[in-house]
Amino acid sequence: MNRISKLLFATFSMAVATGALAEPITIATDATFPPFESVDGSGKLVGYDVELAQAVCDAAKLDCKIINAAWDGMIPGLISNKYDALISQLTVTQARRKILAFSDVYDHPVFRFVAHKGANLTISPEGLKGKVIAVQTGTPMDAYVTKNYTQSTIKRYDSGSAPYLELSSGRADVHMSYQAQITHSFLKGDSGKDFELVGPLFTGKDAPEFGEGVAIAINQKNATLLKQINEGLGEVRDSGKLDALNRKYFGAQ
Amino acid sequence: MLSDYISSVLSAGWITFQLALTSLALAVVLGLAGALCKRSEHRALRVLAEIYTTLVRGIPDLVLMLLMFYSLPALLNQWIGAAGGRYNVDPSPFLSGALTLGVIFGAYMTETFRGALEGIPQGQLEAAQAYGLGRVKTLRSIILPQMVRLALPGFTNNWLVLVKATALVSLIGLQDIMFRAKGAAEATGKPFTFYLLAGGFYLLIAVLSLTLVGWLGRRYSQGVRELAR
Amino acid sequence: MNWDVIYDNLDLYAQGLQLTLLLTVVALGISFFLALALAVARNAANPWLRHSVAAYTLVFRGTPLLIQLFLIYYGLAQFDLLRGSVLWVWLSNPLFCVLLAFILNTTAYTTEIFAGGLRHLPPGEIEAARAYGMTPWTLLRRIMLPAMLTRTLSLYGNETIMMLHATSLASTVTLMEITGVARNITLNHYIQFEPYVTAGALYLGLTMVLVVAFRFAQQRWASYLQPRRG
Repeated sequence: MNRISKLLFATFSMAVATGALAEPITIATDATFPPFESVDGSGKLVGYDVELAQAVCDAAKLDCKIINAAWDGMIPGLISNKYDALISQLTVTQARRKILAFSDVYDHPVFRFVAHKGANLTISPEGLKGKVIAVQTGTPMDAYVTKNYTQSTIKRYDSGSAPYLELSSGRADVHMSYQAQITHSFLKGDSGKDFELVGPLFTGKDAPEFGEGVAIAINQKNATLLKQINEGLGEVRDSGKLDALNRKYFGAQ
Repeated sequence: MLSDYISSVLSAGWITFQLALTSLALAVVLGLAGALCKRSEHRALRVLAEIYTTLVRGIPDLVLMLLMFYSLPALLNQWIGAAGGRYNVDPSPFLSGALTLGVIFGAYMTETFRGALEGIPQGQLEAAQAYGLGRVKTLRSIILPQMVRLALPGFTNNWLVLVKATALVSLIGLQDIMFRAKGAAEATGKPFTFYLLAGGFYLLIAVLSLTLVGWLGRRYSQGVRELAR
Repeated sequence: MNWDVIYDNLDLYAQGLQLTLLLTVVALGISFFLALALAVARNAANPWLRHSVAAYTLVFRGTPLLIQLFLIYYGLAQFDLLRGSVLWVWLSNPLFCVLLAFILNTTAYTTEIFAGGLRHLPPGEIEAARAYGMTPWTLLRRIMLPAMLTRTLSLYGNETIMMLHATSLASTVTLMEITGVARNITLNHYIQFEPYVTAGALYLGLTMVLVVAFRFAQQRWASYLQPRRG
C-alpha cells in the first residue's frame, strides 16, 4: 500500500512537472469556426486565426503551440492559466474586459442572420416571435438574442458548426453568426445552397453585446505576454501580412 | 474529401484505444488499493475508501469529468497562486482524460475487487498461513489466481463501460475518435455516416473484448467445480 | 468563491432538476415494460427471436450512449426522406430524440438483466406450476416474473442509477437539465468550480434517494432470498 501510493505520487508529480516546465506559449482556439479556425480532413488546424497567431508569434519571437480546445473551457481556462492566450474571433466586450486582457483589435466583424431561402422572415423581435434561433453558447450573438429576442426559442450549441446542422435539418429557423463565417463556411458549400443572409448588418456600434472588435485574449496578470503579442501584432500589421491574410481568405476588401 | 475525413476519424481510434488502456491501468491500481483499504483494520482507511466510492458512483461520469478537467485544476491553480507559486497545473487533455477515467473506474474496480476478495474462502488463507507461506507467496499463488476468476465478470463489465466512457472525453476537447467524428459530421453535414463509423469502432472493441475475456475466463476456471444443473 | 452566482440561479437549477427527473422517470417507466417483454423473447425457443433480441442488446450495450444520442438527434435529421415524413413531427423535437435514445439504451441493459434472471430461476417452481396445469401466460405472470423481479432487484437498482446519470448527456443536445444548467452558468459567468460542484451534489442526492429506495424494496420484497442464519 505504501509502495503503491509512493509510485502514484511520483508519477503524478512527474506529470505535473513536465506540464509546468514546458516553455512554449499555449494558444487555444475553438476550431469549429471555419474559415477562421477549423480542423481539415487530415486533422490539422487551419484557418485565418491559426495563421495569424503563427505570424504574430514568429514576429514576437515566441515559441507558440496552437491547440484546439473545447469552447466550454476556453475563457475559464485562460483565467486559471491552463492556456496562455486565446485566439478564436473573440469579441472584446465590457463584460469580458473585466476578467480578461485583450491585445489590440485586429478585425471588426459584421454579424448577420442566416435563414432558408424563401422563409420570408422579418428579422425583429416581433417577426421572430415563436421561432427557433440557434446560436453558439457564450458568444456575443448569444448575449444579443437572449437579451432582445425574448419571445423566440433560443437554442444554444457548444460548437460553432453545430447550428448549421440544425438549420439544415429545419430544427432551427434562423442562426446568427459572423457574416464572413456564414458566407465562407456554409453558404458556399453544398448544405448551404438553399440558405441566404437575411436581416440587417450588425456591428459593434449597434449593441453593446457586439463589442469593439476581435482581439487575442491574454490573462490579466500576464502583462509581459500582452506586450509581446501587441508588438508581434503591430509588426504583422505594418509588414502587410495582415492585409495579405485578409486577401487570401476573403478576397480583395 | 469525405475519404480524408474517414481516415482521420479511424486513425483517432488508436488514441481512444490508448486512452482506454491507460485509464484501465490506473483504475486497476486504484481498485486494488481501494479494495485493500475497504478490508483494512484501520477505520480511517475504510472511511476514506467509502467516501471515494460513494462520491464517484453517485455522480455522473460527464460531471465528474468536467469537475476533474475544469474545476480541480482551477482550484489547484488558485491555491498555488495564492501561495505565491509560479507552477501551473496544466495536464494535457490525454493525461486529464486518463486520470479522470482512471479515478472514476478505480471506484468501480474497488467494488469488483472487494467482492472478489470476499469470495475467497477464509479457510484457504488460514491453510496457507498454517503451511508457512509468506504474504507475498500467498498473494501470488492463492489470492491472485482466485481473485482473477472471481473478479472477471465485474472487471469485464467495467472495461466495456470504460471503453464507452472514453467517448465523453471528446466533450472536454481530447481529439479521440468521437471528437474527430463530431468535427467531420459538422464540417461535411453528414452526421449519420461519421457517428455510425465511430459506433462501429466501439462495437468492434466490445466484441473483441468479450471474446478475449471468454477465453481468459475458461482458462482461469480450470479445476472449479460448477454446481450440477 | 462565487457561490452568490449559484444562489442567483437556483431557479435554473430547479428547472434542470425537473427535467432530469422527467427524463429519468419516463425513460425508466417505458423501458421497464419493454424489457419485460424482450427478456421473455430473449429466452424464447425460437432462434430468430432469441438472436434478434441478442443482436439488439449487443449493439446498444456495445456502443456509447453519446453516439446513440448523436445518431438519433443529428444523424437521422440528415435524411430528407425522414425529414419529409410524418415521423419528423416527433423527431424534430430534441426531448423526443433524447428519450428515444435513452429508452433504447436502458431497455437493452434491462433486457439482459431480466433475461439473465429468468434463466436462473429455480426449475422446481416452474415444474410445479406446470404440474398444476398453469397456462404459459399464467406461469409467466404469477410465477416467473415475480420471482425474477425480486432476484434482479439490486442489479436493476444499479441500472436505474445508471439511467439517472445518463440524463446528464442530454446537455450535449441543447436540453437544460442539471448538467446543461451547470455548463450554461460556466459559460456565462466564467466560473468553473461552483456550478459543477452544485450539479454533483444534486446528482449525489438523487442517487442516494434511489439507493435508499432500492434497499427498502430489497428488504420488503426480496428478504426471503437471503441465506438463513443459524
